Amino acid sequence: MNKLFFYPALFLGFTLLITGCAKDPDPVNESELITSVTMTWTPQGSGAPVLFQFKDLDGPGGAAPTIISGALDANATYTVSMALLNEAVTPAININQEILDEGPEHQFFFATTQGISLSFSYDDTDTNGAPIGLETTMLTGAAATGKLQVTLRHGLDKGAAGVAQGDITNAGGETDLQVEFDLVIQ
Amino acid sequence: MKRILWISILLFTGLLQMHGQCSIQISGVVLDQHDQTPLDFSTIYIQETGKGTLADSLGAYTLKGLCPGKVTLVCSHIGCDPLTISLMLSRDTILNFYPEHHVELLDQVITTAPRVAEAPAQTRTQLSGQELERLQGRSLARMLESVSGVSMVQTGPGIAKPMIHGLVGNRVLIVQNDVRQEGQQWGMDHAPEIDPTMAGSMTVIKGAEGVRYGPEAIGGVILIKPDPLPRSPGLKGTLMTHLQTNGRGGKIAGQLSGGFKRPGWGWRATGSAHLLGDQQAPGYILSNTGLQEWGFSAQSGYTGHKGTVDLYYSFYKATFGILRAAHIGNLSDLQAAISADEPWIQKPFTYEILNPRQKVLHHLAKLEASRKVSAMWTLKGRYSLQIDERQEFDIRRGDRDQIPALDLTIITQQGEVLAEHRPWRHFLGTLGSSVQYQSNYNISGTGVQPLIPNFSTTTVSLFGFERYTRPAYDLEAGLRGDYRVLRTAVFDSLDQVIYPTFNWFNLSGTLGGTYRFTPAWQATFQLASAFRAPGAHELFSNGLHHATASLEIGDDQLQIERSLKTVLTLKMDRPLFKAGISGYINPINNFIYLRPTGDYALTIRGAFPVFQYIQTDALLAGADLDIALVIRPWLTYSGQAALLWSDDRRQEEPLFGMPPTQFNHRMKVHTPAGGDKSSWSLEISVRHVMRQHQAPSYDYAPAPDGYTLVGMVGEWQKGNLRVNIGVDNLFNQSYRDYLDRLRYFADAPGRNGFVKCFYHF
Repeated sequence: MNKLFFYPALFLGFTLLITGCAKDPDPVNESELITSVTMTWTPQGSGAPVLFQFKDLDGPGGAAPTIISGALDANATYTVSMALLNEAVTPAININQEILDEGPEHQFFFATTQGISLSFSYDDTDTNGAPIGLETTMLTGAAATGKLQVTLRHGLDKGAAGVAQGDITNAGGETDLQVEFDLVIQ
Repeated sequence: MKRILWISILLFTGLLQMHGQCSIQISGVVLDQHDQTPLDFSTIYIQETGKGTLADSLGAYTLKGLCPGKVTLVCSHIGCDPLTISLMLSRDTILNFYPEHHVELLDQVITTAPRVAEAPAQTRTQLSGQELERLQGRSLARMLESVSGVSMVQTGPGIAKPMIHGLVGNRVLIVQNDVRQEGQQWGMDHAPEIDPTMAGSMTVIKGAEGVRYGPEAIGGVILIKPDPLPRSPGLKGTLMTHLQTNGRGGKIAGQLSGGFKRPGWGWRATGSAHLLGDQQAPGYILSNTGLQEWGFSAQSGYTGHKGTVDLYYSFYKATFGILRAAHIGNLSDLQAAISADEPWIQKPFTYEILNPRQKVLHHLAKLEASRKVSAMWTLKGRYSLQIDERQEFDIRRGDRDQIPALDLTIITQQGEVLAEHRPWRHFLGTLGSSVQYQSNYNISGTGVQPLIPNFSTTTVSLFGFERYTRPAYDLEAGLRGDYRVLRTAVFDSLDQVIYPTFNWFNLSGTLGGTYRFTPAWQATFQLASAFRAPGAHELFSNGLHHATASLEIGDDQLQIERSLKTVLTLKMDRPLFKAGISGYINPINNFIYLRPTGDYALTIRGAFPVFQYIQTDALLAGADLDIALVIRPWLTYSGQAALLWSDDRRQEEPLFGMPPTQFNHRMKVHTPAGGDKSSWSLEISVRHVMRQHQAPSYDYAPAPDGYTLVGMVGEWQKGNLRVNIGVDNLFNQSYRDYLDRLRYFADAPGRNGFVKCFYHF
């Protein structure tokens, strides 16, 4: 019987020698993350640009994002440019370039809550001549307050009905970005 | 398990004088097939009358007072496959049995179909032989689904996980050739990394067999074993081809085995390739649902009277496509996909697999040896190494399509030492100890925050179980202690690496018995406990889970999950009518699951619901029913039903993702099998799955309607060749299955015609 328990004992002894440890993780640069969206509204003619900004430096979860927006003039024309950054890494990555490089796969859409008059037209095009939306012209209507939703779709069907005109209904694809700003037109 | 090949029967009918009614005697001896040693205390009984006897210490037996007519004798001995012999009795007869006595005592006891003196006190179902072969060509989970009480959790047509009595993934243990399969099983989209064509048998144990197989067997255990190796020279092989219309592909698999010149030594090699393109739902193509799978295994070993040696290696590699339309960006995308009738991306059929896709690689190497150290004891040692690599590719911006978004490697080493003793005063048992060391780490370069942290676990276990066997009943008891250490490496809020460490100790036990009222009737009872330590994903998840559009938060305060499962089974086994009903109740303490908190987290992709891993006291109860009827010699019916009721006792609502009630019916017409003549059969099957009425309120979409599928398969066999031609989902029914994670996005596949050929040589 001694022999019988010798092997299990030996085996158990051996296991005590196994001092396993977890491998140190490598820091991850979230290269694809978008942390900041800045919309610069430059009034045509004179006036100072207005900034709308959504920032979530630690990505999904964690700290809540900070959102700022400014007041727009009623019945005015703005040249709007989008700036997308990944500021979680240093130096920050300019996502605009990635979107331009894959222009045919991306498009921005803009929607407002009811009662707000805001129309837009695309000022930029991808290699197929379809709109992207990094540069747009926006026309404000009468004074009102509400919300502005900015959506970036990836892998959408740009040929679907209404999409080139900025209607998201038939676009399909998946959402890369969707942020909401308080909108004040005065 | 009717390995008639291994059985030799000597039958002498003495020309003695005629006896009157019911005074006939059968006598003989039971000897080991190999060395002719008497197999003492074998059970011999007559199936028709239930009369039986025990052989004496020299293997001799006598059955007296038998009536003339047909009798079926069953001879069984612990460690042997039972032998069944039918004969027409008219006078005193001498009948000797030569069972093959296995040296691998424990395995034999653990892995054969329940029979007298062998039936462990567990509810188990085994698939083997032709029955198993007929299921080949499909995924492992789909094959096991033919067992009542087993369902399948799918992520589209290609990826499927077996579920036993409502439990899946980390709660179901899969044992490949006596080695606990260790891969990435925490995700619902992680199919077991096993090529089913290596299997000679698949056994589903529905009890919580934590004592024998170790932690995590809360739901049950699936044993996948190759056939025993040949021991004498001679080449044998099998070739299988399976072609199917849905997915326009198929599987080819082969097996070769032989013996070496030195007696006792044998080898086997298996290989398979499986290729399918996009599957087709009624009305549209399920884009990007193809799969590519390769499997290979090689085994060599020696089986002798003094001991055994077994060396085994298996390799599995697969690429699975995931339905393109199931990739979504945020919650509104998901809601749009749910409200749409059809997936928003439909492309022409292709074999090409694009992102999102998974690449999986699994190696398993095992060395096992056993030796008889005394007349009583056999020692067995086993060492195994598993390397599992998983890469998941997502739809990404920029040139990142070829960079995996998840890249994990898990390396597992297991060592086990068992001491098994031969029957001693009707006791048969095993003592064992095992150690498992596992290291799981993320390969850097994904550019995505890993879902689970790097971790290592060490598990040290001691266990023992004994069975007391009498002709009329068996009793079984076992006890196990496991000590597990989990070390993780994570970043804290200051980006410093910290090493949270968790220790768990758990005792589990099992108690059970089988009572044979008559040879035709038996009842089995088992009470078994098992536990599962929280997984690293449950402790540390913190991020966006794209596939479900939710933010998943782990909890490092989670406690061990414990289950105490009771299964009661009643079986009847008559030549023309077999039935089994088994009821179970499985209370699980600290059951871990993901539950929406009701909060939404605002991200740059929009708002996402926050889900958190929480614990509850869950209660699962249900019943499985199996019936097989011989209506006419050429017509058989078999039916199955499975019911499950679940309760989240802290939240007072049902649990998410439990299988709905289902019924299976099979009607088969066949010609007598065997001989050189060809035989054929035709089977019609009807599968009815009811709507899951017991669904919790927090699902994204209501449970889909029930459905009925009709299938048909014809079989023709002559000699070594067997051909099956059939159709699944004959009426091209559109349906969505509650357990399919892609039910939010698309219908399940439609009609599928297939042709399968088996050639044995």
